[in-house]
Amino acid sequence: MRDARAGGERLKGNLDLLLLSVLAAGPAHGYAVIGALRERSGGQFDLPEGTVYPALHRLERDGLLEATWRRGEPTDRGTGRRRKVYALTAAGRTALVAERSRWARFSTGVGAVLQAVRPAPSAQSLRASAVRP
Amino acid sequence: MTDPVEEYLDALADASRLRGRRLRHALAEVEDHLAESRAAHVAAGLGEDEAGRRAVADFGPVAEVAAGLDRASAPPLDRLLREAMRTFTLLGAVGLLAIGLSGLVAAAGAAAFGKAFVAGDVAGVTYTAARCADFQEYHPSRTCELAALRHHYDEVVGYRLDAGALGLVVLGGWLMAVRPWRRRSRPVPRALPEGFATTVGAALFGAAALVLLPAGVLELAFTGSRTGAGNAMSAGVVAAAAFAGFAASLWRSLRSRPA
Repeated sequence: MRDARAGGERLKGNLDLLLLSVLAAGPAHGYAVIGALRERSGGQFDLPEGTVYPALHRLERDGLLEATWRRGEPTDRGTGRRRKVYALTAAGRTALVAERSRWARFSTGVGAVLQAVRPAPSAQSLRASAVRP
Repeated sequence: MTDPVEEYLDALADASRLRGRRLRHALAEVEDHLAESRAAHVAAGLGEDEAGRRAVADFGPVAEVAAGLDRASAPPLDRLLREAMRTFTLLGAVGLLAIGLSGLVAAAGAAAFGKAFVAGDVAGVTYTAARCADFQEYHPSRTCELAALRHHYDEVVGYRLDAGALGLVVLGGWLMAVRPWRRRSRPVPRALPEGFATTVGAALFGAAALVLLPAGVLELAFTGSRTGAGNAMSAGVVAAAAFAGFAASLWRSLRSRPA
C-alpha cells in the first residue's frame, strides 16, 4: 500500500513531463493521451483517469498546450460528439526540452547515489571484525 | 434506472465551482471520455450499465475530479496581479481625466456665475497680512479678497486641469502597453471576473457623486450664496456622469450573460 501511494505521488510530480512527452508525438484528446501513457509505460502508469484532465487544463492555462474542439469521427467506439484535442505550443516544446533535461540530471543523480550504496554488513562479519587486534 | 454516466456528470456539475462556458466545456470533455471508456468496456464484453459503472469508477471520485478542475481553472497569481495592475491603472487614468473634466466644468461655471461660484470663501473668512502678501505676490489685485479668490480659483481649476493632463499621459501609456498584449493571436483567459473594472468604477464614481452633489446643493441652499458651491457641484456632476457611464456598461454586460 505504501509503495503504491509513494509511486502515485512520484507519478503526479512528473505528470507534466509525461503529458508533454505524449503530446510531442502529435495532437490528441484526453482519452487518447491517457491510453498512450498507459501503453508507453507498459501499464506502469495508471492514474485515475480524471486526474489527467486538470493537468491538461493547467498546461493549457499556462500556455504550454493549446486546445481545439473537433467533431469526433463516428466509429464503432466513437460517437461523433465534440471532442477537445490538445497540442503542444512552441512554449510547450521548450518546456519539454527543459523538463527532459531536468529529469535526466535527476535520474543520473539518483542512479549515482544508489550505485554507491554498499550492502549492509551481516552479524557474522561484524563479529569477525570485532575480534581482530 | 438512471444512467451511471449521466449521474456522474450531474454530480460533477453540482460539485464543481465552474460556471458558464468553462463548466459546459469541462462536462463535454468528461462526457466524451466516459463515452469512449464505456464503449471500450462494452467491446471487452461488459453490459452497457456495468460498462458505464466501470467507466465512472476508472475516472475517479467526483469530489477529487471537481476539485482538480476548479484548481486548474483558477488563474495563476502573477496573471491576476498583472491584470489587476492594468485594470487599476486604467481606472486611475479615468479618474484623473474626470478630475480634469471637472476643472473644465468649474471654469464654465465661473464664466457663467463668476469665479466666486467655484472658488469663493464662506462669509466671514479673513486672512492675515502675511497670507495676503502671499496671495498678492502671485495674483496682484486691488484687494486681498480678490487676490485670495484668484488664488483659490487657480487651485480649483488649474490643479484639476493638471490632473486631467496627467490622466491623458497615463491613458496613453496604458494604451501603448496593452495594445501589444491584445494583438496576440491566442487570447489569454481573463483572470479577474468579468465586469470587475466597471463595477469598481461605478462604485467609486457613484460614491463620489453621492457625497459631492448634495454637498454643493446644500451649500447653495443653506448659505444662500454662490460662494464656493460650484466647487463641489462641478466635481459631483462629472462623478455622476462617470457613474452613469460605468453603470450602463455594467448593465449591458450583466444582461448579455447567459442565464
